[in-house]
Amino acid sequence: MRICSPEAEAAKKRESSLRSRLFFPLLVLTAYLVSAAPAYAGFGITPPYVDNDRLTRGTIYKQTINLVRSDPDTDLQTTITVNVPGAQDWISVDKGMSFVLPKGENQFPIEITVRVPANAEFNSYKGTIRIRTAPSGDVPEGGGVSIALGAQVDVSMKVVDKIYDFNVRRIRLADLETGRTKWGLYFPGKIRFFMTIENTGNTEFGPTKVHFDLYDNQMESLLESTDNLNRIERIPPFGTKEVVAELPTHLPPGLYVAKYTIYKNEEIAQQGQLHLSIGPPGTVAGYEGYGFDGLSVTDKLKVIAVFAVPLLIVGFFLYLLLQRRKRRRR
Amino acid sequence: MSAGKVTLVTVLGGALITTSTFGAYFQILIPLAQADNVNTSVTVLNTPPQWTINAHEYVASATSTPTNAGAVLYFSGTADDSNLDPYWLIICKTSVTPTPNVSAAPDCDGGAGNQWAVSSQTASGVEATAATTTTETGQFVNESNDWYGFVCDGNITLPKCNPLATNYDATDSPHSGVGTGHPDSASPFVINHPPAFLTYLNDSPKDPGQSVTWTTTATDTDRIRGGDTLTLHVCRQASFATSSGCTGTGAWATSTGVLASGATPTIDVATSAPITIPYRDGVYSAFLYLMDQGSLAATSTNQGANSSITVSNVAPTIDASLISVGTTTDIYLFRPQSTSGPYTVTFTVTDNNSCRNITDGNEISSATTTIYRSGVTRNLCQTTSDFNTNQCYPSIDSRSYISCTQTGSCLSTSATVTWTCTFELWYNADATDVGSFYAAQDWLAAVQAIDDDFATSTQVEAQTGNDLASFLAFDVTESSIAYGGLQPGDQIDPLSTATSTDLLALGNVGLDENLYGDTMCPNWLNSPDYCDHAWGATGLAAGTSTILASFQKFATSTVSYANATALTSSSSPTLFEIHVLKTTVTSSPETKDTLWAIQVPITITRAGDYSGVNSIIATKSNSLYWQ
Repeated sequence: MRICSPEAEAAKKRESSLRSRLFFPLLVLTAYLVSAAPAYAGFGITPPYVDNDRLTRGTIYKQTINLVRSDPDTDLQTTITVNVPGAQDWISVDKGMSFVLPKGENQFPIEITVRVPANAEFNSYKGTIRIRTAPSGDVPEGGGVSIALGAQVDVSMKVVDKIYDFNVRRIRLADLETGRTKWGLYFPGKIRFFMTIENTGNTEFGPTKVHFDLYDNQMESLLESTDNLNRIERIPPFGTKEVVAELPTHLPPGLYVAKYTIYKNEEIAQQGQLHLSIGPPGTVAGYEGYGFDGLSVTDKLKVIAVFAVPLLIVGFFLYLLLQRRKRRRR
Repeated sequence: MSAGKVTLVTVLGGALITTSTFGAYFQILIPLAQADNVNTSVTVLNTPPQWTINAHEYVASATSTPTNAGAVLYFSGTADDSNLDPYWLIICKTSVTPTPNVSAAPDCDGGAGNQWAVSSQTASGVEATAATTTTETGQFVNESNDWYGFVCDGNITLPKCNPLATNYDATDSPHSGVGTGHPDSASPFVINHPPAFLTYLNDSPKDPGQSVTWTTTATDTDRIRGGDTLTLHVCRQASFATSSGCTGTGAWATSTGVLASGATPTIDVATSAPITIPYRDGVYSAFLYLMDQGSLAATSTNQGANSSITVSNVAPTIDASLISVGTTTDIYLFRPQSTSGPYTVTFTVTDNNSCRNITDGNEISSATTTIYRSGVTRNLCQTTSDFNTNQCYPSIDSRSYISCTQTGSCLSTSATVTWTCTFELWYNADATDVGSFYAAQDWLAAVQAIDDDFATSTQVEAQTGNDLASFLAFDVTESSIAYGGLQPGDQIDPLSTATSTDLLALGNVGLDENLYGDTMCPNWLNSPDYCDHAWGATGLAAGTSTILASFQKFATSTVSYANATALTSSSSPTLFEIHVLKTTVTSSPETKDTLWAIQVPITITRAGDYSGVNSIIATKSNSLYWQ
């Protein structure tokens, strides 16, 4: 802005005259631009929040915020201001509190990390993180203010006791081959059931059990029920990861319907139905069947016996030998 | 000739004559002293050969071990001839002694029509073998055939046949070709005739998972076993041997049936083969071969006929639980006032015809997906008129930018294959994450697959959806506010639209704004606290050459300067709840103006261009104010 002077008044009149002469062409241009849905130089963030009501002491929570621009034609200086009373020090940004949004990049992710101290109070913490860019326009001629734009990240956190929970975000099933008999032992087919788990709790956790009921393709009869034999990997707090449950099956090649149940301790986390394709041996690329761990108890005992009996015999003779030596010494 | 040799011939000739003369003298002139003896003599003429090993079938031809029509039937026997004449073994149909011939094979009574077989001329004491090639018809048409074995010689003066017709039986001595003597080697011999393959059919087309059945009709004239057992082989290739069945790529199925005893019974021999899942749809050859228990193939033209089957095409299916919308995180928009994407919908298509077709191409030829906010429901997001950038992107509408491709690897032994569809979302697509208006909902996909025969799956909705994150995107079209010229103590009053800023909603949320400003001063440099340092502004006290932020005011309408809200500094931004609605029409972003005014403090003593920076920090408004 300009503090008033006679020159300023004259300039004001000239501007008014100019405006009236340009009014009609501008009107036409405006009408055209409106009909053509003008494109704006947008700025945005997503998601516009750091929201977690399941934090617990000692946990680390990370949230990625994407900064986006429509027209990244220049580098843009950006500053971040954190204002979260009571939790100000818990929050950090991987890019620092001041950085440049580079020219040419529509998206620029920043990772906000919340480190909850071990002595944090069980409480709610709310605040904001302001992401402000430098003014893009010049200082107006004749005085005034430039406009700096920014976006606000709402912060809402709650520190609570331990929570064990997860969401199943996605599942998939790998093709498998039927079981095979080798050395008189039956190695069952291995169902590989992949689950993308989002740990929504604040403690390392994951599916505790996976159960399959396998039906014929017409769903007329239950052919087999099976549970995972492997230990399903646990996911860190607030993490998302694909884990696998491996289940043995004795079914011959064919197409079956599987009803699956994913357990969260005793609770059912998800149930569903899917098709399971079992191929003949050697037909599924990259398939690796069960080894010793997939054998039945009987077969495992057989294997153990094969190795244990000779050892026992050798041990027995060694024992006799030692006893004899002892007697000789005496 | 020398004189010595003449002398020797003369001496020897004289001696011979002398000896002959004395011999004749004693034989004729000197009588024997035999009073009443009469010399008798008789000439025993030719005698027939005598059996040493009775006639028998060289390989027993009996009820349980019949001779297949077409096979050579051998008879053996051994005879001795007293005058060592060679002999013939002849097998006749009657018990009448054959007629012997001089130096030739004998003839059965009644002629050649009554003869089964005759051996070649055989030396006395040597085993004779007679052979005949059996046939399906003619003299071998009967199943059981009596035979009588004779041995005859071909004596040049009086050929003879042994009138004793013999059969081999258990009392006979072992024979090298037969083993121990066995009545099975005795008359009659048994001919096994081929079955007649009358008709065939199958009950295809069939779906994978069902069974196809071939039914044939056949008959067989043989009865003495109580009805022959017929076996039907259905081969995948025209490759068959009675000894091993289907060869090449093997059999579809094999089955047996027993003909009932009776006049001329027929039998339906049927066999079924499961069409395993997965099985590619198409026409498959199936060659039919029928044979009896003696491994004698049927003679009909139907033998080896191709009774091809059709495996039907079935529509693919999709598991709702295997439909994934987006990736493992929420869906994030990232282009203000535009479309974002591509995002993915991944799903597994199951086709009982395998994921590969019979020409080894992809069985699933195309797929579609419809994307929508769950509250919209699948049924209301199907047509072009349902398209709505806020909430519904039907596959039928090109504005959904949906493209689907098969992304999973596929073996013909697998019934499942992964497909991925991509789509784009407009910037105003409804958020469903925490704090949004539709936080209780999510975005779903309903997918459909079409196979190479245009069989279409039902449209299946994902069991679980995905959240679309709030997208706080905006623009302020003004880059500055030019307040113009004012004298100290003057102000812009009331607030004017000429000094306003807009706020456009270019994302999927409603907007408010946080406002704060820096102190204004002459020769401003782009530094937030420049004026404080350069011109000595102190706190809220107005200086002689600085204008504090609080002298600027804002409102949404042309209120008086006194009634507008004073701008605060960056340490305590003001939340200005102007409630810009969420944009619902992509071509018309929602917007709201903020009107600005300024008062030049009366304390200002320095004229000039005063400048500063106002910050507009957009924030997501309460979702209640989004629409």
